[in-house]
Amino acid sequence: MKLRIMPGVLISAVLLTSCSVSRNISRGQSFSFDTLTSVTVCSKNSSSKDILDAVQDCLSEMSDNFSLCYDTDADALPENGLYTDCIADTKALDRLYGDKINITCGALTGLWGISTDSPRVPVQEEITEALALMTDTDYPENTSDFPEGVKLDFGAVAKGYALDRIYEALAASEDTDYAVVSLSSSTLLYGQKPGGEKFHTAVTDPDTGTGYLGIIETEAAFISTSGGSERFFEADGQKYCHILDTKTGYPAETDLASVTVIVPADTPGGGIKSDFLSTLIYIEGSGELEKWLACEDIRIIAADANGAVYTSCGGFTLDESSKYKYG
Amino acid sequence: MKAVNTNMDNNRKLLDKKDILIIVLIPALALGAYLLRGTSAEASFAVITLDGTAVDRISFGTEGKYAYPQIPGMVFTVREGAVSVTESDCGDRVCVRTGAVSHVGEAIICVPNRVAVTVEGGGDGPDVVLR
Repeated sequence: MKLRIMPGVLISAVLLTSCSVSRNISRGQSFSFDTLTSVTVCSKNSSSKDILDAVQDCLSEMSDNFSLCYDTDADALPENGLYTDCIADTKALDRLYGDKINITCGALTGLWGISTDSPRVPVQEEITEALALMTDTDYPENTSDFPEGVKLDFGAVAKGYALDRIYEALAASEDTDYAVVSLSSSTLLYGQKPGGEKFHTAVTDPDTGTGYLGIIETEAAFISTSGGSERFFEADGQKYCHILDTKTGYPAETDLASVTVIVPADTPGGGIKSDFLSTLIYIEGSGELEKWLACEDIRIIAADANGAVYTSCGGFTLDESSKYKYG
Repeated sequence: MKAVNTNMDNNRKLLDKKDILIIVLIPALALGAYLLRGTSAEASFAVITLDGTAVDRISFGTEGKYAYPQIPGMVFTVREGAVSVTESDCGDRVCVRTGAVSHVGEAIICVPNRVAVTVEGGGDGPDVVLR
């Protein structure tokens, strides 16, 4: 009788063991890209701390290089493969999707100073001058070849671009099981969670800035959100969001409250694509939504100013306590 | 054919009902214990960090105002199951304007002071929050 129990006990033991394979998780938080960044790495053996360190080094180096652009003319920037590479990626996206995202808008960004301590509404003359310091999106290859006085602003693409580089850093180690890299408005969900569990990403309610619009359930992906709820300033009773329309020189006048773009993690350049498109779709407004909702290679979640949500993402669940309804 | 029948009739099957019961029962009990541990875990915490390093971990059960010498100029308030930054000497005051946060995974971020308040613990939170 005792012997007869053995097969059952043995199989139970195997099941339990497979549930608790020792995994090694490391977490870190830091301030880069003008926001809180957090990184979680889960690896098969004790290497998760090393992988985390590599990711955080990568992040702080890119953050330093990109923030340098705001104070320096493009032709005075140090030669750096990071700029060349990011310029090339942005140029490719501009060719594909139109030229509404223009990285030569540094002078304009500086003029408004929306993410600084002293934002202000410039007069039209100043805006015209800043717009004159922009080029078209057929950018030169190197920063040194930009015309005099042009300043670069990688704000619409830098985080997404950084996530593409971090994807490479994570893929360089075979030990990485999964990782979650959050740069606040852009995130990379990498690898596979134990037991095939999906990743859960909450999208902040753009109306209140706290609580959730809903939860996205996905496989590995790059996800970016653009909206005006967090960073804005008020002057003379009017709200100005931090996303500038580089055609008009004024903050984007859009009827969308937030746009989230999901790109599968195995898409080359998927990080910069999600970042670029979330900003572009946000600026364009609801009039252009239809075509983006029909796109095969991306999934989007857009909330408009009237409380309606439009989505092509099957894994999205609206938070019932938010005021939003499906449109 | 005959050989197969003999085998089927034989009592020496690899697994019988009792075995299957044990296979199901032991992991089920373990899972039950694990889930109970999850739900009986304490309610949420507000974790305050400076430059990515934890300064304090306040249970939502202990309401009040909190200030720290390492973070002069900022006051944190825990009230009714939520945490907020109620005073800050930073320029943009994004942190104060954020208001109270209560969902696991939510955070208040003060970039000028390099301070973050994150809600942790209690129940299942998302892997990440886009803001």
